[in-house]
Amino acid sequence: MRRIILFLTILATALGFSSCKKNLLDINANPNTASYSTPQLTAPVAIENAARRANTSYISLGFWVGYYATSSGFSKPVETYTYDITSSFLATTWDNLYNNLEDFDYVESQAKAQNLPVYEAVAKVMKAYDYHQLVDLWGKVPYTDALKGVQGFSPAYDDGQLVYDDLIKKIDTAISIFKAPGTPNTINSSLDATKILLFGNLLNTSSSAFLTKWVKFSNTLKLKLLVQQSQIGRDAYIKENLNGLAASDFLGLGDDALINPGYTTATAQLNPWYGAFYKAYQSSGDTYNSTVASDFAVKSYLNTADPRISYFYTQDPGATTYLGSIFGDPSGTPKAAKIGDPSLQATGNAIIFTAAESLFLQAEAVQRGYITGNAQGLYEDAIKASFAYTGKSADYADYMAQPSTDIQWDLATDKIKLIITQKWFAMNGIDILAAYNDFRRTGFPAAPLSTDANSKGKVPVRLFYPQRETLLNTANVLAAGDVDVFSTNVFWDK
Amino acid sequence: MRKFLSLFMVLMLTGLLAFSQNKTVSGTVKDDTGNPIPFATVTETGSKNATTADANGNFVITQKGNGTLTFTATGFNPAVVTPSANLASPTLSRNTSELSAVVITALGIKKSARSTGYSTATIPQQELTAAKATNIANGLSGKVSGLQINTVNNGVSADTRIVLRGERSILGNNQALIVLDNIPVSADFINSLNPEDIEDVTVLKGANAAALYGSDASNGVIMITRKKGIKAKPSVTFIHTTTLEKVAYFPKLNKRFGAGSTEPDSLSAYTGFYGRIPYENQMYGPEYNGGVVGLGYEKQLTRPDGTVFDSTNQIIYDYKNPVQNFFNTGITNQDGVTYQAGNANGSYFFSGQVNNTTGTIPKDKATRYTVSVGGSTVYNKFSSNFSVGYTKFVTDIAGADYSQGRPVYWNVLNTPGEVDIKKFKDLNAPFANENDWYNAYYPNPYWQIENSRVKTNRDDILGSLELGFKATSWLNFTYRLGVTASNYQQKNTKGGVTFSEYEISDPLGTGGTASSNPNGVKPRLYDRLNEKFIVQSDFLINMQRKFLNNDLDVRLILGSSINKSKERDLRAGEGVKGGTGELEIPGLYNQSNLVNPATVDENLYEVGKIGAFGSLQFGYKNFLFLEVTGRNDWVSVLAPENRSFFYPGINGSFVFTDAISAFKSMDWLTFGKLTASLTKVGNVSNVAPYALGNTFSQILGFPYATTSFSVGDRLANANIKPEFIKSREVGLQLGLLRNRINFAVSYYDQDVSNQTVPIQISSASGYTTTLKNVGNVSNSGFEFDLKLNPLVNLGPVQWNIGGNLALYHSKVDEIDPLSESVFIGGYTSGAGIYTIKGGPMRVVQIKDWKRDSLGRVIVDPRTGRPSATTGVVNVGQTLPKVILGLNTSFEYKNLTLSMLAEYRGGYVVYNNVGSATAFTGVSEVTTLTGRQRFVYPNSVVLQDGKYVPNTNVAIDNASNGSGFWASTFRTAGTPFITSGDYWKIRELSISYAFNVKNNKIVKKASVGLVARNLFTFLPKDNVYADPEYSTLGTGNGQGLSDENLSPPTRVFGATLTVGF
Repeated sequence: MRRIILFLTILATALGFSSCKKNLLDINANPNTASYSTPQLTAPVAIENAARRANTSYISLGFWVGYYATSSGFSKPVETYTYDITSSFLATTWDNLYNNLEDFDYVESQAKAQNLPVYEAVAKVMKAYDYHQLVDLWGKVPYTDALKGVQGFSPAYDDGQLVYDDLIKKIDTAISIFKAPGTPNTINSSLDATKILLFGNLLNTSSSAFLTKWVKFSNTLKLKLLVQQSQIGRDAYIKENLNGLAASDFLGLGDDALINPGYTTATAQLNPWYGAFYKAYQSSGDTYNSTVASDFAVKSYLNTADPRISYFYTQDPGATTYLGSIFGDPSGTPKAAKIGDPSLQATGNAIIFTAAESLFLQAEAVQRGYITGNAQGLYEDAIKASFAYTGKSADYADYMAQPSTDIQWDLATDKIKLIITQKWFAMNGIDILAAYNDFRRTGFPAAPLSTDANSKGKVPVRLFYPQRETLLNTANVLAAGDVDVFSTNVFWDK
Repeated sequence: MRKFLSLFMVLMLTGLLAFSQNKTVSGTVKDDTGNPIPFATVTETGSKNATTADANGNFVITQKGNGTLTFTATGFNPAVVTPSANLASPTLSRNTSELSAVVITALGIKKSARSTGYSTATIPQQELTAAKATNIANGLSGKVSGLQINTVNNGVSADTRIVLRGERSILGNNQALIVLDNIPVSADFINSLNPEDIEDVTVLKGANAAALYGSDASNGVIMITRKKGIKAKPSVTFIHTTTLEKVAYFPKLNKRFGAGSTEPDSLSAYTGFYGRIPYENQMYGPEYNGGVVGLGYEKQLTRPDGTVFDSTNQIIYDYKNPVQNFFNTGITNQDGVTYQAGNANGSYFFSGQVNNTTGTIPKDKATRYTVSVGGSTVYNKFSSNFSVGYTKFVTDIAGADYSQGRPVYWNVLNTPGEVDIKKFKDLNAPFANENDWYNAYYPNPYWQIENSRVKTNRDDILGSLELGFKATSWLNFTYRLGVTASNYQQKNTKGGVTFSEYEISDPLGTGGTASSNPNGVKPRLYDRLNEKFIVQSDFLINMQRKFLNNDLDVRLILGSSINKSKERDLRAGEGVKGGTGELEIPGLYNQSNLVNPATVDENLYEVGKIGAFGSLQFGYKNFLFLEVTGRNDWVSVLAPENRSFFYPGINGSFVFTDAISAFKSMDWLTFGKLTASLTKVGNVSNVAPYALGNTFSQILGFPYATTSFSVGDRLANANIKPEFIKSREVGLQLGLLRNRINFAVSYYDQDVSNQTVPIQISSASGYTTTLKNVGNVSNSGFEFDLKLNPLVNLGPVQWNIGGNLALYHSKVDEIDPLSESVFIGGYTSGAGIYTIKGGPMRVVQIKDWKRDSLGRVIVDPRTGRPSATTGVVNVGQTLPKVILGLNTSFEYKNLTLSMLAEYRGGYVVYNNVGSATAFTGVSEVTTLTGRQRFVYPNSVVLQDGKYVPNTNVAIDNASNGSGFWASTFRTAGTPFITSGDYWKIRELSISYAFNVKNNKIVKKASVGLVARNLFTFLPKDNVYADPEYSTLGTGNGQGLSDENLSPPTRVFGATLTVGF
């Protein structure tokens, strides 16, 4: 019996691992991936990502608005040239935008908790920057319920207008923070030396130049969101929200909002626009080969002797002039011009917002009576800004001197059409989504429809919700209503 | 626990009382080779007084009279022995036809076969190595009911997927746990073992048998036991085997039409055919006519003196079968020696083997060296055994090409039929190098073989040690320590290429490789280092006593198990974190030579597990058995509050032929046993280490000048809990006609609820996946085993036959409130493997043709072409419903012939090679209409709002700028779905044993012919590939295969064994 007790004691010892348990079991701290971050550490990737998405996601929309066409000899994007889109069309853009928004959400909430007001404001503005793209493409989208993680695996959808209105408020809050950021000394400046990529870094938070630029950018984004609503009878609302703002409050000549974290020729670190067309430095990919200039765009630029054509497109070495393909022509035009080499800079800047776009928006806002100012001056500055951006400043005067109804303010009967057409010239490969939005909102320019035999004969006015979303968030997608991509307009498109 | 102990003490006391009797006889029950027979039954002849020997054959019986003792043991003929004084040394001869007497169950616990209440199977070494498979997994295929082994690709070190009793876990691991000498090892170790070192393999088919192994064993266990030597005079055995490997079949190929593309500018308005394009990989050109054509366009060749001249490679335009001609006959040489010896106190075993393989792809090769040592000793109360093995496995195979990253086979498939491919084997031959190569889009496969290599080196050490201490006749202790360590290195090297100005200028505007890479392609490098280390230590206490006049046999096992595993994975170079791995200096394949800063990914994993378990077994009169088990696990991967979990099990068996006298009079019924068991097993194998907290990572090229961390896509669930598998099993085992016929049937039913599933969530939540306890899958099946042993026995002629059959059924009861369907793997916009609520575990979904209500294909009234559905439709399950194995052996004197065949049926597979080869025009199906216009069979067109049979709208082969076959035909997955059924002659061997009885030196000698996968019979619709193949490797998404997998092969050869 005593032996039994002895054995049982041994057993008990063997089973009572209390001593080794700790070493054996408390080993679950992640040695591979960071398990915490800070607003300072997350803001840079979030801003870079925002620019990356805005710059590279909408190449296929560029076919619809007349910038691109299919090349000869390379497989063609069927959905694009028939307009017969499915739920996979731009589905990754949906995922990417929400992924990016989660980063800004983290920055916003952490910055608030850690009393880093400037970071909080930056996150608010950038959220508006991302969210408006979602609304512009899908109409009703998750907003109030979105980005809640564990609290909401299937967020409900909000009306596009509700989202837009709240974004305006968000931007206003951000602006008031930028104008009075409080106590910047709460920021550990040594950590922040190079962390914010847009308009410099946070060492400059005390510098009024930094904050002023963020205020201008915020106002410009707000202007964009408001001008977008020009067709739905909300002029009073728009005016109210733009009350007191003038040209000097927006991004103006020389104020291009660009970022460059230090793009290199290494494959992973290529400039996003370059990386969309090249699989590696100087090694072109399928998108490069299958995307050529459209006949419409080439003719439009050539008709106005626009020197910017050499920025947006590169003439085929075997061709005597710029050639473009007819959009939808299955064989494509041989020797059509490719995406312009000058726009494809492996280490160049990525775009958050160009001064040209801001000035076109201001011109339109003045023309529509939303703000006061000189519409013609703003319009001409906008073109000047575009020429500057594309490296053609020297040719600006000659271009403007041409007696064309597509150039001369005075010759144009429809000023809005003039502004939008010129904006279309300038936004080529720079803000394709803006061109698509303008096309839906104003109908300008009248880019020709695809000539493909299976073409649906009209350009979709919105997209299907991604299949993934339909599958994983079924009830809310159904609640958002039926979608006919040719007739279910987003709220600002009537 | 306390209840357990008090019960135990009560039983102890009664046991002590029972011992105060007279005349004890003791001894050891042995077989005819001198090895102890565990758990033999000892009966005082003619009385009810009986006892059971222990695991080492030792018995003590208290005899009331002075008569004889009868010894019986399952698998042995009974023996009657008269004790001399207090000793008896019975020897039992083996009754080979009965189900094996002792089974090794979980944790190496030996039990009598009659007492196990669940299904196990043991495959002895001679069956495992019958066809001289180099890999143990291949040697198991078709031999055990309920075991499915898929060889998912071909090559010199092909991977296998081992699954027992179907699939249970939606997205987690479903593969059986591999246990080597009682130490769990990672599944890839199975390739490292020399099959000749294996004593036997025991298959614990499900959770019921494996519960004591703990949370990794829910998928069943393959227990591999290595040899420890035999207690006999020293013997040396040499075995040499040479086998040849040949490609068995290819997808059905186009032998009529040569190179040409589907582009409209090559379409002849006159003939309606596409013209020949000499630089195309696609085979949509004109029909072979024996004329002279140029292969490739005019090239600028360089003479040895450096002068340049223009030349076009002129060839005869006919079919030269490049696909078949490209492949070699692979050769495998296995040379092994084993030495074993022993005496009453111990034995030892040494072996070594060198295994050299060359593959069917030229230059592919692999070499495996194994050395292993094992032994066992018994000294008084102490016993020990150990085995240590070292394996070095080196492979050197062709890698991906430099331009599109395609494997060799794909580039061979893209060689138009008029190319006499072997002419380009010498890269210095005219038109063989990359500048002069005819194909504008794909490289010379021989250039690829020469310049792109994947070299791996793997060193494994697998050691285990077991110490036993027999404290008293009823109490012993066992301690076990096992260590496995593996070091894996991989180096992928890809040569660079520079193009001549002439090629870059692209004179014919091909848009080919040279013009899209005007700066050439730099050499590239990828390196990987992986270290794995697992240590396991087990401690077991085994107590066994008899009560109630020895009618009640009680056994209590208590034990603990500690397991720790560590892994370090280091990768650098091409493809790692966006790195290109580009090198400047050709031939210097070193990470320090990179053009851009090195990109490195490092991952460390560490997991600790502790288990405490117990098993209480009761045996009544050796015909009724009951076992209760329990195990508690503590695992490091869960949060402290969830990391401890307990699960119980119960099983019983009833040998009714011994229990009920009515059966005893039935001469034809020799043995009959009913079993039942109910088990629960906790499982955390789907929870990776460090999965409890959200992570932040550097993405999108970061770090640039700054570092930056983005919120990860995976939403962590700190509260994840283990999933539990409930498994029920009943079985019946019969031995008829003195065990000449053995039959077993079992039915199981497994339920896995609250699976730990990484589910997809709406990305609007900010994340894309999270780990949740959701989903409920049930899975059931029947297993039948039949052995006619012998079927015919006429002195020198003996014919045995056996078969096993498994029927599988699975049902997904629930996945998640958020999703009705889970994508397991495949092509996101086309064919994919899914798990769908209400359906079987795995189904394949594809885009089908749009059909009318009668299922007829709707074609466009203008073009005659069908069109594909927008979404995907379910076309059937990809797991076999039936697996049947048949084996037979025929012996005549010294000659033995044996054969093993396997059938699988009731499922479908998707063959993407069909789609890929339709695009390139390489497949036969594209030629079936002679590339002429044709009316799509059984199609309908819409006429006046009704679908009417289409009789005249022929497919305009030219419309829309691309041929029907290369485009429309491939938009639906339907043409590439085939039945997955097959019959395979898995193994065939003939061996002749020389009569060496009178030879003083040679103890045994035999020669044999062996073959594996000699014949495969596929249904007519499968003209593509082996249904076992998997694009997704050994993952869960079985049922998709593609053009990147090498063609299937057959293996045949000869083997010679000499023993001294």
